[in-house]
Amino acid sequence: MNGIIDDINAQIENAIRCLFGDEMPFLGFTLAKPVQITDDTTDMSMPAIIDNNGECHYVFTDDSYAIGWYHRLLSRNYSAKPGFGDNNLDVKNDEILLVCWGLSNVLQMQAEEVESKVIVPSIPGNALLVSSNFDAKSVLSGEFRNINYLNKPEEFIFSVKYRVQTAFNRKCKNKLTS
Amino acid sequence: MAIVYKNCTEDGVFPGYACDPCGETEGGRVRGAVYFHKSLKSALTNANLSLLTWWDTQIAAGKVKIIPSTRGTYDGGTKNTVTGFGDDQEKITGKTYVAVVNDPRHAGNLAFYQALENNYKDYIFGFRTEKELRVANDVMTGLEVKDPVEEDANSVVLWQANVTWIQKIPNTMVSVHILTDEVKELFSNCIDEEEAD
Repeated sequence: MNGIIDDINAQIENAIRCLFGDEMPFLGFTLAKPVQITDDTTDMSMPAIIDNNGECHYVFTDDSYAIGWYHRLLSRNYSAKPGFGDNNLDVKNDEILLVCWGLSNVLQMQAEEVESKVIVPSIPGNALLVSSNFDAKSVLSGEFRNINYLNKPEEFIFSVKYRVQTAFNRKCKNKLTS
Repeated sequence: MAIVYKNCTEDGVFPGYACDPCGETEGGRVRGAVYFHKSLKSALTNANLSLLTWWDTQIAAGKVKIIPSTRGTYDGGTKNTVTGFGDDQEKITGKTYVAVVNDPRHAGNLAFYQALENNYKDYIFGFRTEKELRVANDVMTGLEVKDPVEEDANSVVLWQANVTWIQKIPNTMVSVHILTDEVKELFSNCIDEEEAD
């Protein structure tokens, strides 16, 4: 799954450079998670990348950039398909949400055009496109909890849901050695 | 003197029935295939087939070709008959067996399968199920190898070997050997033949 996300991000970066030129600032992230923030007066969550040291990196809009995106793993389920030898293959089905935000006044494009010209063509053929959501309020309510995020009129937000299916061997045996 | 009628059993003794109260079963699928050179025909005994050293020697000599981790079927045999004698409508002369072995290792094996198809008469087929190894008692009578391509881009192109052989009476059943764990490994892993010397 991480390989596909890296590929998607590389393709999006190429598409941005191709459509908007090398100078257009963008901010892409890989897998973000909802991070809970609680204290005596606060109980909210927002998407962030948590690194191995536990540091949180905010992934949403930043005025220094014209467009940004991140991915979020919504769910994973498993199934099986016939394998070879003793084993059947396990199949992992990941449902992933790509959330994209951008400034239409800088890009000179609306959400629908960015979705069809930049995001969707960057998702490879072996990932299944599921749906896109252009309702910014609905996307925001899925990403933020108890945070009233108000996007500026020129700031668009949309999401694209896609599914990645990966077959894998649960066990990986080493070569026979004498 | 009382009249005693002959029966068709080895040494005139009818084998006993093995009844396992634990009900252990054998898992299906042709999980690995092996092609023995016909010169090994008399050596395909339980004693040899359970010895890893015997396999090592034959593999190093190029007389045994193992295809590990396959997926396939075996039809169990279909009787071959001729018109019967006496009261019998038909007489079984043997059985024809068909096995299909699907090998996912497509790249680099065209020459191997072409050679096997061209020389099938020189090889005896065997295959592995969960815990058992079945070995034909004679050379193949047919081998057709193909690699069909399906429409689905996510499908896997396989080498599909359709193996046929005949076993004649009285040994119409394919011999079954219990696999030892170390011999079973030969059918689950790719052997580095350089390091196996």
